Amino acid sequence: MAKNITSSDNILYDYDILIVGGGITGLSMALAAAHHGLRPALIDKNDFSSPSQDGRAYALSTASLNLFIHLGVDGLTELAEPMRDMRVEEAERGQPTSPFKLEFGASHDAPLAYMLEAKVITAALQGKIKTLSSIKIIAPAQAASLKLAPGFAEVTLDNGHALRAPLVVAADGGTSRLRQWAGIGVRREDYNQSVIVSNVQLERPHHGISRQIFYHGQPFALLPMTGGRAQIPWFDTHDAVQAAKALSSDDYIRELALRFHGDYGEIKPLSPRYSYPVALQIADIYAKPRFVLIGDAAHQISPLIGQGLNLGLRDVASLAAVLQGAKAAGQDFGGPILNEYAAWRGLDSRMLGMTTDMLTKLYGIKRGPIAHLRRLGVGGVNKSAWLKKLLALEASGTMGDVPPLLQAPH
Amino acid sequence: MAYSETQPEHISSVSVDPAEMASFSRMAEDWWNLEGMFKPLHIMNGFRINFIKQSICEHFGRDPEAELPLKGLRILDIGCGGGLLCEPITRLGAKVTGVDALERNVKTAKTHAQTVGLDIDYRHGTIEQMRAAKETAFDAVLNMEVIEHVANPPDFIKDCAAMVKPGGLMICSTINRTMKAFLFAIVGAEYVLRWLPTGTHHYDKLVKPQELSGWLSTADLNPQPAEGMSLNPLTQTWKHSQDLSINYVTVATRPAA
Repeated sequence: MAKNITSSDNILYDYDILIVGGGITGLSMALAAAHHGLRPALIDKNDFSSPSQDGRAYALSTASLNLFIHLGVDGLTELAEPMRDMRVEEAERGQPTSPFKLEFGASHDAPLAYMLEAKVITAALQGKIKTLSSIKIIAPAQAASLKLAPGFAEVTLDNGHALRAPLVVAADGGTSRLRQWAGIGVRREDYNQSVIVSNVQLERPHHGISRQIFYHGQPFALLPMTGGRAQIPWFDTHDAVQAAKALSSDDYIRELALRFHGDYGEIKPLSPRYSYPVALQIADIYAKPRFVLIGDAAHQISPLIGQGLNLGLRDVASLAAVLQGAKAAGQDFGGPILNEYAAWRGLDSRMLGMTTDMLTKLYGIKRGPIAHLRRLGVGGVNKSAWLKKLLALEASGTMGDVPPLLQAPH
Repeated sequence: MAYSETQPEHISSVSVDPAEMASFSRMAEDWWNLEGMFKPLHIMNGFRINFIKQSICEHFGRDPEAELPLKGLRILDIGCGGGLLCEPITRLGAKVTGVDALERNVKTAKTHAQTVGLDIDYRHGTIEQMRAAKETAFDAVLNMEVIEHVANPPDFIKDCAAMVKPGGLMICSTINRTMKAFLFAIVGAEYVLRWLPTGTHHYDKLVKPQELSGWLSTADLNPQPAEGMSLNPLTQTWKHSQDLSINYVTVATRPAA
């Protein structure tokens, strides 16, 4: 492979950074690095020319959309369903929901989030990347091994080809093989909980309102999508989710209608149902010399409040800011500067992880005094304007020390 | 090279203070350890590299945002230690020479540069040896956190100035000799925070900005007003400041021939 294509003409390296994983965070990282004048290579196991079929919807914060706009990825806001309000309720199946509700949107003019499907975001990011000659796409290709040497990081592909850069960015997801090869452990908390997700067509409008209804401590949610569609994440024990997955399409839809008390009229299935286990997983460290974790490889939180992708995109913007500073000052991309990234990101993801962990456990308790206190507590949160504002701010991704790429473009 | 690799460490020289050299020799292996004895220099590095880049670009009318803003410039780093400045300045496009009186430092620096694929001309020796050997003068000479460690600062500055070519510049940073500097840079950094080994800095060897200015003028350079640098110990970040009472930096230019 041609040498001398790094920005500093260093014969040791093929690229400025090697990004492994072509999901939304990996694609965004490649764009953010190129945006700051670095020359990244992106290693993706999927073929870049075949469109993504991933129908999962994400609640993107304003900050995340700012990132895409800064990176020159236009038009996503227009393709999104604005989430205007967020309701948290408690209910018994077949009974009306609890009078204690959390409602967020009222005091905010701007939407709380923007609902977008993974395949729409992926296509937009891939489209932009293809226009940039500064990003080398290596796909379809698998990383087969990782070497972290004092002077370089090296990824060997399954075809035997070895690539070197001062820094490897692992964006290869929750089960990150690179993280394991780098010898970084994780702290994992399982909740004996899975989620089953499907997209549906609603007869009556959702008005852009997301809902989270807790049935015996297990959240059942509606995320508004464009065209009167919705995504329905249904959390339950592993066994219950397997049972729900085995239901016939008609029975499944009947169960959804019952759980929404017929709020949306007739519901029609639009996608297959897929399920995965829910867990809190945080890597022991986010960076070591010549190696850094972003996105799910660094931290996986419960999809309960839909913040997982936003957290990953904040990793991207933070790392981009650190790399930009390093480039301006001629510093080693895989050297001491990575400590700044680790310090910047560690607190944020631990806080969000803790919050969702607490919520999951709090709502997981079915009866007794805690359940009673919880009902009072939800009422209490609803009455506490400042707390709601804080939660909404965190959800919109504009709290704390904000990296430039997440700030509103001029 | 004008002098041998087997140069004795404790030579009689205007720039080399044997006691200082012995102390730095013990620290040589630690240059690239972020949490080690040179932690304050690592924390300072991004800030001072940006200052150097900006000053040099301004002086030579270059674009600091360019891909390689220092491309083609020959730059000398005096007292280069393990190469903490030489490496980034090389990545910014300059052709860098680093000189250090301590052989162990030069070995550390050479090894590290090789490891990260950078081509840097490291020399074991002193600035007066370079001057005596009539080395070609440089576009810019970096004299960062060194003056407070040398034996005879006025003569040292003269030797450094001789290595600045006409139309070039020298950047000097050091620590002021004030009660505040004594409290923060010596008592604070060495005894309280333990960021530096005790004995790294000696109060009576610290330099006042007007003294430095005077030595620079005597050496036929035009010193610009000193600028302060201050550290926020909580965020561990540096910023420019009007306060010269602890760390400061002076840029001095040599008139074109």
